[in-house]
Amino acid sequence: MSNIDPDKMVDQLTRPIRKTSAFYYVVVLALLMAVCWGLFAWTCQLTRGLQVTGLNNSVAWGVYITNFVFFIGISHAGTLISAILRVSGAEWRRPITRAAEAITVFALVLGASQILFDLGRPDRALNVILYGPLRSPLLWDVVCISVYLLSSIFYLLLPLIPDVAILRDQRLVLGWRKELYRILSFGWDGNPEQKRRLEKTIGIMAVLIIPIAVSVHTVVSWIFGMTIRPMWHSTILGPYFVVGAIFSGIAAIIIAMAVLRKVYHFEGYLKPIHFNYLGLLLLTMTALWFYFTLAEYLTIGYGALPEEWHVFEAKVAGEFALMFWIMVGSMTVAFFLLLFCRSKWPIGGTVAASLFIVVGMWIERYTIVVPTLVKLTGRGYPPGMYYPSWVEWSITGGSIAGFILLYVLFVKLFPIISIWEVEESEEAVVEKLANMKRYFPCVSSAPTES
Amino acid sequence: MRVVGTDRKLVLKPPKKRLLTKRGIELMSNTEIIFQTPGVGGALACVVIVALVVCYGFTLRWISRGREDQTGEPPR
Amino acid sequence: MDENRRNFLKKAGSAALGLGCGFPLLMAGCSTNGHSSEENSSSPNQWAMVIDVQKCKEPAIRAACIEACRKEHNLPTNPPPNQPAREVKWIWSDKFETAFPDQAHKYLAENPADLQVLLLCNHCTEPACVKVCPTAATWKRKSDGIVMMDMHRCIGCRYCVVACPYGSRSFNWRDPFPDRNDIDKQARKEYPTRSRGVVEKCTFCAERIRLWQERVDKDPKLLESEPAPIPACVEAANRVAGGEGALRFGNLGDSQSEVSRVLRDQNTICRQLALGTGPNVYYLV
Repeated sequence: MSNIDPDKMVDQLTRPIRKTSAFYYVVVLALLMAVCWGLFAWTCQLTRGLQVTGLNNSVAWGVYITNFVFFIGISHAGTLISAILRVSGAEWRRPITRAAEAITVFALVLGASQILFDLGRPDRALNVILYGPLRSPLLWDVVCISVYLLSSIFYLLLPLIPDVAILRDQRLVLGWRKELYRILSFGWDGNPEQKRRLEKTIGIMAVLIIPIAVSVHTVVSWIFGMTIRPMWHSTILGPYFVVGAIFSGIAAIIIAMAVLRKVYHFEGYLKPIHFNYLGLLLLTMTALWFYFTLAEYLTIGYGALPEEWHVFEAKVAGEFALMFWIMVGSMTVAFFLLLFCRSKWPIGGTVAASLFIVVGMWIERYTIVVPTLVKLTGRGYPPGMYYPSWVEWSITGGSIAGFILLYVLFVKLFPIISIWEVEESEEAVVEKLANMKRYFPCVSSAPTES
Repeated sequence: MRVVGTDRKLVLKPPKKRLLTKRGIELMSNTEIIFQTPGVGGALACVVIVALVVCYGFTLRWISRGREDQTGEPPR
Repeated sequence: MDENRRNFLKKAGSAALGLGCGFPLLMAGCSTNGHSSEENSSSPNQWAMVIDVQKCKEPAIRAACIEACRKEHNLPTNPPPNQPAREVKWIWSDKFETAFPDQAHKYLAENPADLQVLLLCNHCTEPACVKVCPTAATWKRKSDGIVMMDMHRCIGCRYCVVACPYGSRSFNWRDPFPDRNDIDKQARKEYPTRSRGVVEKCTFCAERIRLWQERVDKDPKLLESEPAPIPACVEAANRVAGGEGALRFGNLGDSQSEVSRVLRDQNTICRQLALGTGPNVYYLV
């Protein structure tokens, strides 16, 4: 960090807010078009009903529910990077927390809206609040996801306060944005008492948000786990979903970081070592994912209860074998990329692995939701098949575009790398060194900085 | 049009305008029956959401009121 | 089902939730298993049906039942072509082996592939659909054990369709009456229609049960000539020659009812008993 002086740093980190290139407008326009296409598809669905999808009474849930689980999974990026690393005192987190927390909020918004797309009568969605009984796992989801959304918005806003105050004081922009910065800086003047209170609140929130995030993905898995359907009704589903969520979340943040670094020239802030460390975390999660998948599939396949066997067989060697093995293949490629290319080629290697993982995890969600419904026996009618329609793909595409669009707009409004937290890194180094001296029996003085 | 209810607590309610096609609204008119009971789960969700918003709001206020001399005056 | 175990689970669940959250509301949520306080008075009544598989081998009987149900409940008459899996059905007929996968071993006396059985909602004692419904649009009516459906509260999330092990729930993928004239010409005005985007199912002709109840309440002597309400499918089967008694309907809580007698005297089977949902439609094989 010593090669960037503080004034220049503020200048560099606020540049995306002050200067807008033509390329930015092109990107926003393209994303807007994709979102509009998705909205058009949704209008078709609203006027003609869910008959425009590929769903039927046999396979009543499909791509929307897959997207829901997928987006909620992505949303775990912010929690993990920011909260867990903060709690464990990993100082390298400083330049990446904001980018991660923003992913959480926007992925949650898009994830929750997938449910709205899936409803036959979205106009009645409020009935869940008006009449919802506590016994329904969907109610648990409503409670947990709203708590998570509110908390992650709060957790995004908190560390933004000092940065927004910088923007407010520099009078970089005028108009409604100036007013926005005035409001969101909550009268911040940077005095030590404010700082103490802010740090304290962030510290508490970092601890609180971890169980909230874990509860959210556990409860999402319980939508499936609480039913008595083969390969859904499984005790492993909760932890399996949480691991999968953190896994895809880290992959998402790596991709976002690489794009930001390239577009806004944040090479001085998002260094190869950040990718290397995140890649190491990702590697751990890949191993965990393989472990959970093996545990789940081997238990089901070995036991071979008829009902479960139909689903298992369809996934491993039947209609869904192609998807299933693409998923396993992507994860394997990602694993070896992370294992062998991470240290030599930190950015390229981890980003490539992340792309494989994000795609692989979407497929994983799909192969959890759909095959069970396709291969159910005992319902008294022949099993049906499911092919998503253009409407479902369009709404999916629109949602992904909407997610990216929200993120891109956020980058335009707020510093995507936390200025004050990076500024403090000098003090953090001193503190860290002083702390480290306490670890060891025979270190008497701080080693000199080189 | 006579509507045979399916339970004693059924209450007839006039249809509201909905996200349906015109034809759908026509079809639904006069037959909209709503079963009226409060939902415990929904109430809990509302309570939790309101409590969190209030709690987070007060925390933000507490942070912004932070002054070294602890006079409690708003800054600036 | 094992009543003690169920009760224990319910109590333990409420206690755990109540302790965990310290929230009296939660206790209330777990103990009121249904809609309103009025329904809390649990009764031993449970409407049930016995289906004679041998008598129902006659296609005319099955067709009559299905058609009667369609007419009675304004089911869409024209299922979309090429989309059999989108049909709205309350009572339907399918192969024995798809309905009873755990019974259809290959040495069965009769080739199970040829045997067609009538299928409908089992009005389970522990219905999987009721557990998961996020709006209580489907619920277990405590007064008589029917799994009810409020199509006007349903939000169409299809969680129940996914959760029901018996395929008894259908979603309205399209307008039930795409042609405005249909509803005037064909629909039975006494039964409410529904909109697109909601789930529906068999209610054991709850509307007939209620009319019967009103008649009996007014004149208890009627119980002798009319000991139980007659659902539309039962009525239709009885009208077909050779179909008398193919479907029998009655109260399991009443040991003198026709279904109780049949269940005592003859061997019957149920669909997917191992799932623990406690189905209340019995099959005489």
